[in-house]
Amino acid sequence: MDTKWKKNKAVIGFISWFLGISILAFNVWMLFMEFSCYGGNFKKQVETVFQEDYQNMEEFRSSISDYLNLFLAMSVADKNLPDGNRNQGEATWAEEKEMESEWDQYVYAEEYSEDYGYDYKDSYYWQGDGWRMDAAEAEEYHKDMKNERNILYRIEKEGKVLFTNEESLGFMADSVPVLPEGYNFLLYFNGEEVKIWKDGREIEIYGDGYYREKSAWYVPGYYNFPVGEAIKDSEVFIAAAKVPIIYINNDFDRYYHVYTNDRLYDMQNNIRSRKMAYEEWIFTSVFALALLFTGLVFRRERKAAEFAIAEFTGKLWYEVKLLPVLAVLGFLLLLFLRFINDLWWMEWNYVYEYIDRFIYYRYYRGPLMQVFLYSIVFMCILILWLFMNDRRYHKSAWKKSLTGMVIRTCQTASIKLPIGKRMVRQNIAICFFIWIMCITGFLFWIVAEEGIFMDEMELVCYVLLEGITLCIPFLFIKNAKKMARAMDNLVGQIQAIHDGELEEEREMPEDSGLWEAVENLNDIRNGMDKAVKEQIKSERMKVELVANVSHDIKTPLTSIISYVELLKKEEELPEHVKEYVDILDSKSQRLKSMIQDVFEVSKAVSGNLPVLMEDLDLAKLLRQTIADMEEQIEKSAITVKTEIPGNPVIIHADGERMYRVFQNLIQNALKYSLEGSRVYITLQENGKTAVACVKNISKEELNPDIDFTERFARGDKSRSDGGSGLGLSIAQSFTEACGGEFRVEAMADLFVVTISFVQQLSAIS
Amino acid sequence: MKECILVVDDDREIVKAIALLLEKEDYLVLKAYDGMQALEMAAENPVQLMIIDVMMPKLDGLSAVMKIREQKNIPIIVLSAKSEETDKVLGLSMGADDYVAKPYNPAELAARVKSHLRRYTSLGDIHAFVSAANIVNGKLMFNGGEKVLYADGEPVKLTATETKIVDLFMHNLGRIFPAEEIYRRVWNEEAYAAENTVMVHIRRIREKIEYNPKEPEYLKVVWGIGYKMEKK
Repeated sequence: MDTKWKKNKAVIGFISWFLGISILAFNVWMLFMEFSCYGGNFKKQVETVFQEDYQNMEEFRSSISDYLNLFLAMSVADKNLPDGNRNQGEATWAEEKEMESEWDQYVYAEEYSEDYGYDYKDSYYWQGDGWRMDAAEAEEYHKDMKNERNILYRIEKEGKVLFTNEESLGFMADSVPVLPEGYNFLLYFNGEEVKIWKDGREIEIYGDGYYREKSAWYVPGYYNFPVGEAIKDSEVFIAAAKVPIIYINNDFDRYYHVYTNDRLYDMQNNIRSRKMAYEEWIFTSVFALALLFTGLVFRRERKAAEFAIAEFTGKLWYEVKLLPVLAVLGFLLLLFLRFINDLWWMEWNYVYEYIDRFIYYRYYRGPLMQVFLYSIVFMCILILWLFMNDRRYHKSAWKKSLTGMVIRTCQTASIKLPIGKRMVRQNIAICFFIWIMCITGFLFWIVAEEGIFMDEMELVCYVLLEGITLCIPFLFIKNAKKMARAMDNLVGQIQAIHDGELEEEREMPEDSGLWEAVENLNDIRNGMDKAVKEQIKSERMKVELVANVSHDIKTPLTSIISYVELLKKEEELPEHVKEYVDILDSKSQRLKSMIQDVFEVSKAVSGNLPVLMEDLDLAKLLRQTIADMEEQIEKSAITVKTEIPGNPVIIHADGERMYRVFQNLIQNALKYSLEGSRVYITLQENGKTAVACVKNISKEELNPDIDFTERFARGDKSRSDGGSGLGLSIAQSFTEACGGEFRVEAMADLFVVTISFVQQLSAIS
Repeated sequence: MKECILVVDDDREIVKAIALLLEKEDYLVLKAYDGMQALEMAAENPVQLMIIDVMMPKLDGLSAVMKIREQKNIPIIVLSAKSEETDKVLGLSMGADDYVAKPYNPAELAARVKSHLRRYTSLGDIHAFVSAANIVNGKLMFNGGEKVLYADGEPVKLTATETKIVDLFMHNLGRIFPAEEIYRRVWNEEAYAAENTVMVHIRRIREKIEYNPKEPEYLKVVWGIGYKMEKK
């Protein structure tokens, strides 16, 4: 239960932290977008939206200005316009708008004419002192607009009403405007200046009387934007509804109708949805902060979750992680560039259009679009975060990459190949590289020179030249293959000699460049073959010689021993003769054992010693040997100290031989130790090797230059004692025949023999 | 009547030495100096045991053994300077009963001769002793009921512990016993320093039953594993 809760805490901590960060990041991004797109005053923007009064919007003011200009044009509509004036309008209008580039102009004009349906080019144009219009067109406008009563208007000329959809617009006494129910905005142009009332109060519009770009109202009446001569007699009333509603026109054939005079309704809608969006922004930000707080509370558990995630991502290939990160970074770069300069790269404009749609139209697309946008942001942040998290826990995450794996696999695979094959492969790779370079160069050149590249002869020449260029690497490869074969051959021969195949003569074609090397190698091989054969022969002869000699010695020795035995049984011999017989007896016995030792050691060093290998317990063998020699040990003036583990120490060896080894070692120790000193017999194991050690203090001074395992070597040179001088040599030979390691060390008078064996895992049952 | 022993060796001094050794033991000794001569003498005389060298002129020892085996069932001891295991195996498989390496120990040789003769002459067919109560192994026979060990038909004097050990080994010929197991089964106690104790007893038993206690043939140590009674 407890662990489950802990796990839950980790999950909650991680998810809330992550969601909090994501939402917050998204909101910051949105904020940035909102105010970088709309520019202007941050505070004013927010205030306008929250007042929910569309009449405070910049858009409303420019719209009303447009209406005024339109109505003024309508007031002076001319029935007999000269045709030549019509085209003038386009250019003037374009200049007036101060567009940044042709492209923008074009887009603007297109969209404007599409969305609003005004055909400015033909009917509505600038005439030097004011806007002009065809009389028929004016009638058309009036017909379109009069039924859409979000805007009420009355247009007069010289006191005569020309167009109106609300007769009642006007003033009461004291210049108080009269407005129908539901209308709170009135604009009045009296032929000299413009006056505006909102909610019964007059609004200051001209400021200091000069028109500037930032001025709210683009209407005539400024010092630098005076009223044109033509409209001095015109009077215009415009009223706007407090809350605009949709008016559906009867003429359904023209699809733009609904939009034509519903700009106010759109504004109203726009401001509402933006208010909602701002509220949503505040709500989500608070929610995100709450989530962040939760994440902070569970931060310890969150770390565990992060670690678990890193563990998972650590198993993925690096490319899988890197590519999404690069994609996200690319996307972010695109967004960034959008804000530095929106025309940075003209061809990419359509991408920006999509991005802009995210930004501008998100208010109109409903909740699905919101979810989509949020998920894109989540994805981006998740990808970046996963990457960072992975980096944090795996410093060298890049090592586990698909590319690296492929390269490593290729490398290991090629290492297994013979050197020649590898050389050929490398050559082929280089040739391919050159080929690709040539071909791309050629193609590039064709594309670049397309204009001049007409002569057929030239084409033929170039193709031929390319062909020859491509053939040259091919020749190289052929040559390299030949070299590689020779190389493989040489390497194979060296390998064969290393493996001991000395008989086989190798051939190599004389023109291969390595011929001399192979010949020399053959000479070396022959020399070695001869030497090895001679050595084997001499070894065999040595063993045979020792065997024969020992046999030949044994026969007379048998007689000697037999007759000494007979002599010993003679009772009438004088005492001193009996003494001689005893000497003969002991010396003949020593001779017997020496012959046996010589025979064995010669067999052992020539590798003819038969061994019966089996798993045995070295600890037990040591205990048995010591028990077996107990009488000798007790008789001697030496104490034996043992340190042998009670548990089995299993080695693979020949028990009889190893018994002889330890018997020899202990006998030596007893024989050559300082009287009253101790012999230490220890056995140590570490699971891999078993090391038996016999240490004793020498009676005589040890000569450090002597190799004690050399045959007939002894501490002193007198050879007066009982041994054959072969004890250690036999011990070493036997140990090595059983696969063990035999080492002798002399440190001052301390004599140490170490025998180590590979420990076996199987236990004796 | 004295038992008749044929000694064959191309080395006359050795033949003489063996003859002197055996005559002291009150045997009748015949001498031959090559294989052919040995075959002739064995055919002409009532030989009861033969000691023969391997490497000899005219006819080598092992061939002579094979020929004699075709007619006689007498014990044959091969005496050779070749001391290798392989030589011993070859000799024994050719029909020899025993194999003694030169240079031999005279006392041991005499003991072996005595043992073989006793089994051949006084005891007759060895299989007559095989019964439920008796376990026979080479020259050894153990009576499970009486708990008595016989070597060459003569009872061996053993202590109670030694008898228990022999009992264990004779009932499990060829099986290897770790010292701890011997200790547990003989002393009925948990083993402590078993190796030394067991080895002491085994050494004492060897002195009573082996020809040469230093090179035991029956009670052997399997180095690094345990102890066993060799199955003959």
